[in-house]
Parts: sequence; C-alpha cells; structure tokens
Amino acid sequence: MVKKKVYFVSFIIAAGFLIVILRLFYFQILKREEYTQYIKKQYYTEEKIILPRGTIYDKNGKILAISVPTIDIFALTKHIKNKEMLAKELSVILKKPYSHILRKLNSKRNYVVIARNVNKSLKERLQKLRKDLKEWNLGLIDSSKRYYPLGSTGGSNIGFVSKTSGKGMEGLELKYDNKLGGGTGNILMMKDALGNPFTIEKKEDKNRHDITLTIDSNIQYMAEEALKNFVKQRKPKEALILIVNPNTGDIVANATYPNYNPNIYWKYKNHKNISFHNAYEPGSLVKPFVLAEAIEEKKVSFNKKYYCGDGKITVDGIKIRDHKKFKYLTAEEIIIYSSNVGAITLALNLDYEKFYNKLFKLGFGKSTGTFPGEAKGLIKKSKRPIDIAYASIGQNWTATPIQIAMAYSAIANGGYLLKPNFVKEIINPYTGEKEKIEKKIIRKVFSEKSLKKLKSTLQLVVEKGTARKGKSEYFTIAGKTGTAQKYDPKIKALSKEKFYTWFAGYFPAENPKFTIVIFANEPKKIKKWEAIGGGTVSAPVLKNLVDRIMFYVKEKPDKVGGKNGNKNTSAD
Amino acid sequence: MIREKTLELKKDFIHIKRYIKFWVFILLIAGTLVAYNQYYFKVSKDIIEFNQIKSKLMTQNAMLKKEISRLSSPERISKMAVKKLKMKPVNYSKVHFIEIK
Repeated sequence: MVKKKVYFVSFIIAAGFLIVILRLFYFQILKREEYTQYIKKQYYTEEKIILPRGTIYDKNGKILAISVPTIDIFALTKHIKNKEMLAKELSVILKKPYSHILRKLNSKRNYVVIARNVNKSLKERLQKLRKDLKEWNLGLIDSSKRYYPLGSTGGSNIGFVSKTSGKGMEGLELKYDNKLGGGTGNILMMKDALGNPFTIEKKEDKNRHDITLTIDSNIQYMAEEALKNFVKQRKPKEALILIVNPNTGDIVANATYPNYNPNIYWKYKNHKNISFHNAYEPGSLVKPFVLAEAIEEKKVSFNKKYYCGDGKITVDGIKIRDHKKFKYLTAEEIIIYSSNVGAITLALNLDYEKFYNKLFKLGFGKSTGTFPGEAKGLIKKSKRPIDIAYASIGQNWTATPIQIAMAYSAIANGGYLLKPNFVKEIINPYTGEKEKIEKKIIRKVFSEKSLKKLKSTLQLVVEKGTARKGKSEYFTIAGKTGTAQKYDPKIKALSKEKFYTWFAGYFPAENPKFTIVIFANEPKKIKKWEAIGGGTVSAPVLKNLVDRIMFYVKEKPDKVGGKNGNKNTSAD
Repeated sequence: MIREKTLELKKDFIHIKRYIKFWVFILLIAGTLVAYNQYYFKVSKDIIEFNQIKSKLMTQNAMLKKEISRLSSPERISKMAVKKLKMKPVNYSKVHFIEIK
C-alpha cells in the first residue's frame, strides 16, 4: 500500500515536471520569435543615433573633417515630475532659453529631443542633474557631429554630411561614403517595469576608414587667396584655380568660386564644385592639340608661314574673326599669338576623324569618375568644315576644368593621360592597415615629336605670347590662354561682352611639378578700353601664385639670369 | 528525557561526522563561487569604469585634434603672419639658396 502511495506521488511530481518542460519548450522554442518581439516592445525602445565617420586628412596629415563625439538630450515628457525646475537647470547648463526648453518639455509628444550635438564635456553635469532631481526620464544618448576645422578652405571638394542622416551629401564625403562609414545606427534602450530607460546598448561601427587626401591645405589656401583677390577684382559669375601634380594625377588644390563652408552647409544655396560639375567651351586651349595632331599626321611644316588673312576666315559661308590681323604666321606663332584663322587653317587640313579621336583620346566627352555628379562635357564628331573650324578654336563643344587639367598634364608628363585622383591612402583605424592609391595611366596620347614642339611652344606663349602677363621672373611656366565667347540667348548668337577666360599650363616648364588651370565665367572689365581674354584676365593670376607655391615647396628658381637662378636650364 | 535527547544528538553527530568531508567540500565550493562572483563583479565594474575613461579620453582626444587643426589652419596662420607679425610675401631677389653637396 505504502509502495503504491510512493509511486503515485512520484508520478504526480514527474508529470508536473513534464508539463513544465513541455510548456517551456513551447515558449522557448516554438513561440520564441513572437515572444521575443513582445518582450522587446515592452522592455526595449529603439532610438536612432548618428554614428561617427572616419577622419579625412590632407596630404600632410592635417585634419580636414572629423567626427567629434557629442550627446543628444531627450526626455520622456509624461514621466518628468517637475518640468519647470528641469527646464530652469537645463537652460543654465545648455545656455539655451528657459522658455524654449519648457516648451519642449510641455510638448504632447511622449519622446522629445531637447538638444542635439551637445558638447560631451557636459555629460557629467547632466548626469548629476538627473540624479539630484531624480528625473530618470531625462536621457543622454551618445552621438557625433561632423566638424570641418579649416572652414571653407577646400569646402567644395570635401563636401558635407547631412546633420540628420549622418550620410555624405556632397563632394568627397559622398564619393567615399561607404569607406568613411557613419550614417545612423540603432541603439537599444532597456526600460524597467515603469517604462523608464536605464541602460543603453550600442553597437560599435567597425566599417569605418580614415582617408588621406592628395590635397595640400597650404597650397589650397594659397590658391583660394589668389582666387579671392581675382574675384574681388573681376567679379566673375564663377571662377576656379585647379592645381594638379602632372606626374601622378593627384589633385593638389582646387579653389572654386562660389565655395561654401561645410560646417554651415545649409546656409548656402549652391553646393556645386565647378571643376567637376560644369563643362565650358575651352576656347583657344584646344589649339595646342590641333598642332599636336597636325604634327602626328605630318600635315604641318615649321619652315613655312601660314597666311592668317586679314583677321577673318570664311568657312561654309560663315565668317570667323581673329582678335588681330596677323597676315603670315609660322605654326608655332599660331599657338604663341593664338590665331583663330591659323588654327582653323591647320585643322581643316586634318583628317576630321583623327582630329576628333585625338580629342576623345585626351579624355574629352567622358567623365573622369573622380567626383560625384561629374559632368562629361559635350563633344560631337562632325565632318562639316564649319564644325571642325569651331571645334579647333574651342567653340561649340564643352570640357570640364578637370579634363583640361589632365590633358595639359599629359603634355607636362611625357604624353600620358592619367586618371585624376583625390585620395592618397585609405586607412583602417582599427588595424592600422593602409591601402595606397596608385596612379592610373589611361593611355599615351602624344608622340615624342609633337611633345617636343608643344613644350617649347607653350613656354614661348608665357614668355612672349598671349600669357606674357603671367610670366614669373624666377620660374619658367608653359601654358596657353583661352577665350570662348558665350552664347547669348537674347541675341541668338555668340556674345561680344560675355566670355569664358582660361589659362592652362604647367610649371616649372623643364621639370613640371604642377599643372594649373585658371578659369573665369563672365569676368568684368577693370578699364573700359580693356579687351577681355585669357591673357588679360586669367594669366595675370599666375605670377604671384607660382612664386608663392614654388617657395612653399622649397624649389629653387629655374630661370637663367635670375640672381638665384639655376644656370643649367633655359628660359626659352 | 535529557539523556534521551543527548543520545539522539550524539547519534546525529556521529551521522554528521560521517558526512563532514562532504559538508566541508560543499561549503568550500560555495565559498569559492561567492569569492569568484565578487571578483567577477569587481572586474566587470572596472571594465565599465575603464571604458568610461576610454570614451572620455577619446572624446578629449578628438576635441584636441579638432582644436589643433583649427589653430594650425593656413588661414589663421596667414592672418597672424601678415597682421600681427607684419610679414611680407617672399621676394626671390632677396633669397639666397645654399647648395648642400
């Protein structure tokens, strides 16, 4: 009987355990997802925070963009006990108006953000305040703010990050958004039985890289200062100074007008970087390419003088004017004095397919893929003589300033078209691993014969030709000026008042270290009688800028005859 | 009555004595677990504190880096050089280059 009783009790206990185990199996295994979601809803609240991004450095390691840790302050309004007192104390710490904070605390919404991106050094004071007032529903969340220490210096290149989404919106911040990381991340705030948050869990963002740019902030500043003076003097609609290393394709400086300060990007309407986003008619900058093609096709003689007429040429019944009556000019002089008639005469002798192919080979009509939203420029092949004539003087087709810089870099570096590059290396801050960006040669675009002639001719353009106003006393410069008439929709013809003015070249001429492009859109006259052109407007910017940059990079003057001149090199 | 109780206690004691090793073992295990637990909490607390210090130092570091960049900005240095120190742009005719062979 006793044995039976023992078995019965044991059975009851065992059955009880089995039921519990089965029930646990039901909750933990079968209905796991459903109940986990239910618990999360009840005990956790998910909030979005702005994650820190990688740091952007200039070539010399100076910080151009950094994510500074900050805190966001929020409140669960219906659980705040003494709103007036809390608002008063917070207004003292945050230096914000009392009424503004109180209005937020009195909001009908359950969750309100009182302040974003507050200096993290205030965290301890805020935590003490929470403890003293026993306002446990005042919360602090780690966040971060993107800061650009150099302000507007290089602003249009670096771009900016959205203050709400934490993602790159423009410039290199957008281009390298995946590498820099950031954006928004979710954090879990655990709530106790009364709904008060008491723990914050955050995931560390491991997909974050630092980036070192090829930009030298000192040269960038020099270029921006020169551009500022230029804009003050000429009041153009747009202007730029673009400096590239012709041997590597590295963009050393790119000063643009208009520009913006990425720290306060929302105050600017225009966030364009005109070196990449806009394409303009290149004017006479194309003439050296016409000469190069003529040399390569063996359709030019340097012993002969070309008749450049009395300042005009008629092609397909359309008159194209020159800026001067040159009469007879050699092929070199056509470039040195920038004769339209001369360049058209040379171009009309060329195989039109080969001529356009040369322009395509130089990278025109195709985006370089260096910057987000980069323009391609517009160039169309045409066998009509009038189209060839206009193309040879840089009218009726467009190029971006970066395409111009890379084409002139090809003259400077021995004939190679390179891919422009903004990034020197990408660094993983967790492992210290560095990914170096190597230079990319796209193709060889000039023959040795044409290069030799182009180099000597372009140096003469600065020494005695159209760019002589930009001549430096100490350094040799080679380049070409360009002036393109803008199309005026009012008169439905090319304007005689509105121009694009250019200078593109490189220095020092013998051993080029920098390629430079100086551009202005609709520069104004300083004197009434003055003729607007690349030579009078863009070239003069060169002089002081070249001397300043070369002194900064500790280069010795290379002109013969200068007091400190290098006696081994020649000026012409 | 007292004698009976004493005898019963003695019996119990003999019984307890037989298993004393196990009791000591259990107490030792429990003590070790409590000590380990305390140590674990102390280490966890230290980790939290060190993480807080790390986060604070990282914040300070970022702020200082930002400040260094702001202070060494070419714009600021250029303004100081021109306005405060009355420096002038380089004149190459007055520069002497020394060749190092």
